[in-house]
Amino acid sequence: MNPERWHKMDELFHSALELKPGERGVFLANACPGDLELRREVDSMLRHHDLANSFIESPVYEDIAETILADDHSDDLLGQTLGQYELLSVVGKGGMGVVYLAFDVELRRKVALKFLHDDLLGDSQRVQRFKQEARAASALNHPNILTIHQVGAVQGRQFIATEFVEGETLREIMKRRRLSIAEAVGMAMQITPALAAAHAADIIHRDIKPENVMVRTDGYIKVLDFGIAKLLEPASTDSNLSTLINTAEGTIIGTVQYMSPEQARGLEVDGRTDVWSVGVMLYEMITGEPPFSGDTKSDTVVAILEREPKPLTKLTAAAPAALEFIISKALQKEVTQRYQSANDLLADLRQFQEQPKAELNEPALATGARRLSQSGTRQPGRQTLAGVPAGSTSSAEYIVSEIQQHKRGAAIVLLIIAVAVIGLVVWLSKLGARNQVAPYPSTMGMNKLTASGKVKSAAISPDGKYIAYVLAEGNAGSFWLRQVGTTSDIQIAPPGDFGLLTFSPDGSYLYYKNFFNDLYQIPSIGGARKLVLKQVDSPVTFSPDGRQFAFVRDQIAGDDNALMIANADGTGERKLVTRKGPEGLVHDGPAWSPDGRIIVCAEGGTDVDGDFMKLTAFPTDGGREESILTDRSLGIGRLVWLRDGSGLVMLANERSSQSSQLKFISYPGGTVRNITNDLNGYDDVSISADASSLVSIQRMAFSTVLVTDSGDIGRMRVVTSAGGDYGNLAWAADDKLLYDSNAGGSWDIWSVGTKGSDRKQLTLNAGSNAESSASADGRYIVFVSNRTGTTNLWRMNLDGGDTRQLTNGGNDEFPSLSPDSQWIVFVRKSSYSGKASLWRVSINGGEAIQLTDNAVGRPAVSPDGKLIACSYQNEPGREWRVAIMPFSGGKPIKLLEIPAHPFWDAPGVKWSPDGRAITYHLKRDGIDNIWSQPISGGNPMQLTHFESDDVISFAWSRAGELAISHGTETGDIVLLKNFR
Amino acid sequence: MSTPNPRADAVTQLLMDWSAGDQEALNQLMPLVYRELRRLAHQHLNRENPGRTLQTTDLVHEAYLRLVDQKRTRWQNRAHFYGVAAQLMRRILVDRARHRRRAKRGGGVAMVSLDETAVVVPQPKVDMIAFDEALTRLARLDQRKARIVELRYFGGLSVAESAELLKISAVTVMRDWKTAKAWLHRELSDES
Repeated sequence: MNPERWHKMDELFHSALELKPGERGVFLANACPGDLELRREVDSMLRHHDLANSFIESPVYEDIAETILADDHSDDLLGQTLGQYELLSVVGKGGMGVVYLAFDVELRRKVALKFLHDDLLGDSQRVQRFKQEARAASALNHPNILTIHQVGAVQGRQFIATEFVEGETLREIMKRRRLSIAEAVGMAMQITPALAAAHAADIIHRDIKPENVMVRTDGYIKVLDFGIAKLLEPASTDSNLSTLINTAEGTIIGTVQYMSPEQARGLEVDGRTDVWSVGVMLYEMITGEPPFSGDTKSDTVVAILEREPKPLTKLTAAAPAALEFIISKALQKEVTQRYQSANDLLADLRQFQEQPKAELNEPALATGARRLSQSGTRQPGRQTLAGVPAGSTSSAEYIVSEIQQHKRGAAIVLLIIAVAVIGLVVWLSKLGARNQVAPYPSTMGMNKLTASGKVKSAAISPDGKYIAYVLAEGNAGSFWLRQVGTTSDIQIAPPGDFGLLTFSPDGSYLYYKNFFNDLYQIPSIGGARKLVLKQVDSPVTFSPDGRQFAFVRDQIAGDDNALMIANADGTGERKLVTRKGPEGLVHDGPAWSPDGRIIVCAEGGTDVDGDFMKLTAFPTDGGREESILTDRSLGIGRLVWLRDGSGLVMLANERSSQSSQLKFISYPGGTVRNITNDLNGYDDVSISADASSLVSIQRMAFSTVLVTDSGDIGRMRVVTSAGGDYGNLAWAADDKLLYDSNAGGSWDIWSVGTKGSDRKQLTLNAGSNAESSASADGRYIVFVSNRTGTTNLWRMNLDGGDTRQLTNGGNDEFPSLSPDSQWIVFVRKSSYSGKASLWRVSINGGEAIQLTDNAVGRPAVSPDGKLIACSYQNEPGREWRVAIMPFSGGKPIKLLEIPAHPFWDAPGVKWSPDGRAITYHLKRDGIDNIWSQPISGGNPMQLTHFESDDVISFAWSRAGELAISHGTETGDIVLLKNFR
Repeated sequence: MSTPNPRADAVTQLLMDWSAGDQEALNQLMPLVYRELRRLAHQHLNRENPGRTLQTTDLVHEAYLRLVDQKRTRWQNRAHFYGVAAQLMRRILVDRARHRRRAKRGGGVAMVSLDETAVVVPQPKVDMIAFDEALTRLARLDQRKARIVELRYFGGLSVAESAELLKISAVTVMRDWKTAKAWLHRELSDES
């Protein structure tokens, strides 16, 4: 179609659209006389306009999200025969791995084959433990336990083969309908004997939930996955709640709803944990809702630890008191108060099933109980419950034995039951009430209020009662309000482009700027947002009376940026002060003093000694600026005043550490004091008016160093893991690794044995140190340091001693040593153009020699010392490739089709130990993995199979072992009390 | 202040260079943004509540925040960033779709499915490859309309945002959008 016709069609299409459908035919007939083709064209466009509906109306991500999630390559194995198993179809996918229906060719039977996620196999000890457990479980011979045929590995992948059960999971049944009390109790009575049998063999299930209970078509129950949950637990024994949750958020653990309090706390568990989980399931089967739940996993965990479930009878009127008693006893938070064994629980369930319900659910009794509790009798609930022996005898047995002993004394029996029921009711309602109150300690400290890891921004209201926050969860910017001291969150605005939040001084509005730097106002209790002002390039700060706000605006004329003031409704904007040049006012926001007199803002500057940052006070009457602080080592970000005017809290990072901390700076005086000084980073800061509460976002990075076990990439194990970021990784010997870590507060070089022992910090208090590699002769470690103020190559002995500077290019990095330990190939960046080229220098320093004029990335010298591989650009504007070039430099002898980029490909390329392939990291669908490309050609091969997180660095030992550093980052709200 | 990203300097420089007309900078920028977007996409898709809506705009926003050293940035061309992000998103998704198609073709395996337990693997609502091809054809007919589709569908921009970016009125964006949508729908149906 030519442009003219296209245009005509477009016009007619829109004109017709404005008409009623019935009028369009006539219109078109008149509009395109004799041009039937055009008319047909417009007709079909109109038809498709009607058909299209939601077509491409929502952004592409919503259309493909599910597809990406499902894209786990599990189909790739279908049709293959692994060992004696022929994989027929995928029957399920979960956090643990993929389950296939397979046919056992040898024994001619169907089996379910579950492959474990590679993530779970990183720790060989854990795998070992899992195997032991699974083998022990396979020895269990109980009709209600799914039979395990085989535990094994094929092609480096761990699997479990079990009997194949035709039926559905309890979850699927529960999704469809609520179970009757008899059914629910019947299910529990099949589950508990399975648990009792396992516990007798010292096997704890740890993950009892409806998904793990298979209900055969004939109603017979099979409990699945004994002992497997152990594999999911954090490796460290000192795991606390936050690591547990982080593990959960990270990748693996699916649901926390069935977790016992001791499990949630990361404590040792025993059979009583499984008893708890059965209690949770019973409750859910009967009421249709879980006893402990929350919007997020962390909320659920809080509910498990702190709250009591709604009384059963509130949700299911028909629930007999005795059943309520049984469930509440299974759900005692204190393990010693709980049923002490699955058998105890089973005994009570059996009693319950056998006893005529009327006897325990006497109407007179129930109403009597209610009347008593309503009349305000304060019956100490715990005491009453404690009156029932909490030992190994089950409570029903106790009651029944009482009945038997006091055959004449029915009144006594009734009394006991009544007291127990009353106690329960009072106790439940009391606990329910108690949990409305804040669990915060009044002492000083930091409380983490969320654990999802997904908080982007948070602000505390001036009265200190609410925290507004933006959650990057499912949607990248949902807007929530939490009443401080509770864990209930209200979503106050649908997902949107919320940026950093600022409360108006009276707390009634929140201000934020979106991505286009438009400033919006939204009522704190929710409601429609209103555009206040455009071109607002920083968060705003309000004058004490709330009538005006200040902000930073860029590029008002050329290179300038300015501190601006405007009225709260966006009118009357004016410039207070202007800055020129590449330095200027930072975008993290100014802070208006409580007396209204000055606005403080951080700005950058440069002088002969280099860059610096300063805090400047700008009088609002246009008077003389006053410098509060000048600092060459701090990067200064967001600022807030204390309401008494005694100083400001700022987010600032030491240049060496790169992670922001909360600091207090006095005014006047400018004395800086740390509020936080830990290994996490902090974002965003706000303070309540009475300065009792400070809210910030805590960012935590978690990194792990993994190594292969006997060269098997399917069996990576953890060498060391910690908070903080890891950087470059290198082998110092066959059993020793070098890695960069900022875990000590600044970037430094560490060494560690491959078994995780002998961890040692090699550099200390000398700027940032990174990019280490060891010479093959075992004498030196070459690394990059900025300890003199510029970035150069340095050398030290293997123990960290005898440090010597090798280059002075000022922008030298990425050293790679030749195998003869004589030369270091490295990248030198021009301080003018920023272009990176390849150089080499002797291990003893001296004059550096330029090897190439082309733009390059991190180099790698081949194992035979004859070649260098690096990402490479033939000429400016061309695509980046991986080049193989002679050690002497010059033109590449080969360019490999590897997606390469010096910045993007931070870990760089590495030679395979045999020197025949280039290995590199590649992100696919958000996940980093390591690939190998044979130099001689052929298809690249994926070597690792991580399913989450980033590969930060990797390195091959001469013996062919692979070491990888792996990491991820989270953000959560923290509330600081008495922080001054 | 976000935790500084070691790559932020480089990205900032590239963005500045590119906004000054350096096409090479764009080449270097793409994979950087690409990597970040994918990392974020994966994170977002792995959230607890997959049912919630994923906002592409916010995804891009977050990528921008992470990638760009805001203290150093003086530039106003966030709109440009959206533009490139939309293009990138398109390229990424089409590549993925091609990859998936190849993988499927290689298999040729008969699926044995058990009704009780069969897992439904969701299929994309839109065939990315066909869509991409159709969009390329549309661009030949009408560059601006194709651009609007790219911004809105791949970049997640609203009508107002697209209008601002293209310096045209929202009414025009909406009008172009209707034509493009109907035309693409027809192209992707069996009838054309």
